[in-house]
Amino acid sequence: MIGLSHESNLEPWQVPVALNRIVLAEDSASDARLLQEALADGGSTADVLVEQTLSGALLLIAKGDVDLLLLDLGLPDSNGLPTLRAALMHAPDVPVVVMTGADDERSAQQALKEGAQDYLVKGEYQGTVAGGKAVVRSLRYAIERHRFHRELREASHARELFVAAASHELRTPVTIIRDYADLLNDGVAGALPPLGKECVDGILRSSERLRGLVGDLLAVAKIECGALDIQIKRSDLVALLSQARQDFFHAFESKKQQLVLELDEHLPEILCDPNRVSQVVGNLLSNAHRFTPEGGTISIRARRQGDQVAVEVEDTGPGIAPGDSKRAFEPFVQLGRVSGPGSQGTGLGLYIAKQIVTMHAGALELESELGRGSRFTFTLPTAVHCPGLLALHAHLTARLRFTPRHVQATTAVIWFGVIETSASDPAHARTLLQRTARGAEVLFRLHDAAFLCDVDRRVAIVLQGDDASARAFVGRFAQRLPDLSAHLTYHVSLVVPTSPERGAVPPPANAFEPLWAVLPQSLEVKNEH
Amino acid sequence: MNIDIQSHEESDRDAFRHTSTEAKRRRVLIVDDEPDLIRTVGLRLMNAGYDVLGAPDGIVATALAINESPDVILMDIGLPAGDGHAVTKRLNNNIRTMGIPVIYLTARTGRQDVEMAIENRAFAYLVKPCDPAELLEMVSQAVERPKRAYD
Repeated sequence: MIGLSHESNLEPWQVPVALNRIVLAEDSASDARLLQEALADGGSTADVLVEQTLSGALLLIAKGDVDLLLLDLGLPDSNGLPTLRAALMHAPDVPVVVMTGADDERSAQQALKEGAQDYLVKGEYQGTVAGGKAVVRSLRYAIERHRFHRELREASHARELFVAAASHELRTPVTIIRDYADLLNDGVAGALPPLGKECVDGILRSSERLRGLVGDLLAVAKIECGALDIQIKRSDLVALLSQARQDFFHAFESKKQQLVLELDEHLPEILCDPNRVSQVVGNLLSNAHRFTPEGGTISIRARRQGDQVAVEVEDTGPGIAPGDSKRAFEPFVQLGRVSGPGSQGTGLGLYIAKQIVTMHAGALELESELGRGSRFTFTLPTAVHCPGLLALHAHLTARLRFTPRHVQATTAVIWFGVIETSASDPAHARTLLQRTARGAEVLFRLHDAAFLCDVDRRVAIVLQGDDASARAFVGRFAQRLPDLSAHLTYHVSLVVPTSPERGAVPPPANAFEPLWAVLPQSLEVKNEH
Repeated sequence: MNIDIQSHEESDRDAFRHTSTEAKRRRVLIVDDEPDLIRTVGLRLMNAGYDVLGAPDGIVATALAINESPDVILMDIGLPAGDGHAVTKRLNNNIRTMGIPVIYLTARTGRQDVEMAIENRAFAYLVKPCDPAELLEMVSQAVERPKRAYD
């Protein structure tokens, strides 16, 4: 039976917003009373539990059944935005509305950016029914908005999981179909008659295409939920491109296409995941192969370009109209299909290529002219720079007390906040730093750093990179730095200067002095146990 | 040509051996929870002159390895009743099976799995889908390998 009870049939968005239990974290008794009065004026019958400290409020919330947290940012045990960050981290399921003084609307606005649902300015809602109603409405809206955001997040996560699981499950049967066809093709069941051979070839061709599609779907799913594993190392681009040419030799020959490789002499090593970059080159080449008519030419060029290497794949195909060139990198977009067996693409190749290049801090671009062909160019960072990191690594390992074993033994947690070290290889930076001090967490955002330092009393090293993008990044946060430092009481915030000239001067040794000044203390204190 | 995959319930082990008229054929144990994979890889190996045993889970794999002493084991990782790593470790610690080379054959490519395989002294780590020629080459290398010191 459906529809007997009206209540139970309501969709989530039809259920009235519950505002039954509010935790009010406020250390001033008079402010707390004023707010309770405003709620009463506004017609709310909610229980208001007043707590004077952040930890008290979080404990109450942990017991459950709380609809909303009203949070004063200045509490005895926490002050300013870190109060909000701690609340969001420990009580992610409860919407937070921040209370602020009239003189501090700026930090209230920052609070909205960092995840508060709304803010109330003290002194603006007292004494009138209208003011009280506005407060109640704001709180209801906060609850609703919080629920909506959570549902969006959950839906998108569920979709990503579904695609990942589906593609993974599809892979096994596809492989098995191909294996059986392969066995027939190899004559395991006896020699095939000509028609049988034709059928088996068809199965092989289609299962190969399906396998490619499933692989692409899985890659896209991984990219979208951030799970694509990239292992950066120094790589030889020349070897990589030569291998790609070899892999595509037969395909190109079958369409009488020429493949020209023009590589600069003395190409530097690059920092990349060679398997992923091979995938990029493969996707570009198969694209060029498909769209270039018989007898056409495809060229691969590589040249040094500042601290990057640029790789071009150019074809003499039909080209792409100017208006379409942006869409070429969108998933499932196929600009012009080609007929003939085995010639369809998945519409995912360019999208995947672009994502992989972007994950390497490079760029993939397309220049094209109708009737003349297309040229795809991607850039990758060379392996010669990031002196700051290497120097830090050397300094840390040179001092016995900072060997990984020691750091573990003393249980002192060293936290490295790295502001986008060398923007070109964050993964490399992470590996290097984690190897230096096991148990270190490497984050790339300054406010994450500030937050963890506050909550866990960790030590931060803020390492400034030497890339243009890193400098821009630091510049953007520079104005917040002094502000944040005010909250960082238990750590050193160290900006390691590195040379703007790439690969040149490592940071001076005394750049690390503030770090040595603090670290040994914290380590020795722990050692006494 | 038949490969029988043994299940928990059945006790007559001889029924699950692929019998061959030749006396000295090398035997490969394929451990995989996907029967079709045992079948395709098995056909490939039989075609190349091997005898083949199949095990769908960790328990049967262990029992067959101990009782049948295959010459090579092809090991999947994701298995019911004890994953491939656990089975390999168990076989390494058993005096009757410690000398049998284990080749991982799995769809997994994670660093952790590869490191675990190395720790378990795997003879090779092949990723599905695997080129048949490469698979045959690895199996033949494993069969012909110099005896390990503890054999």
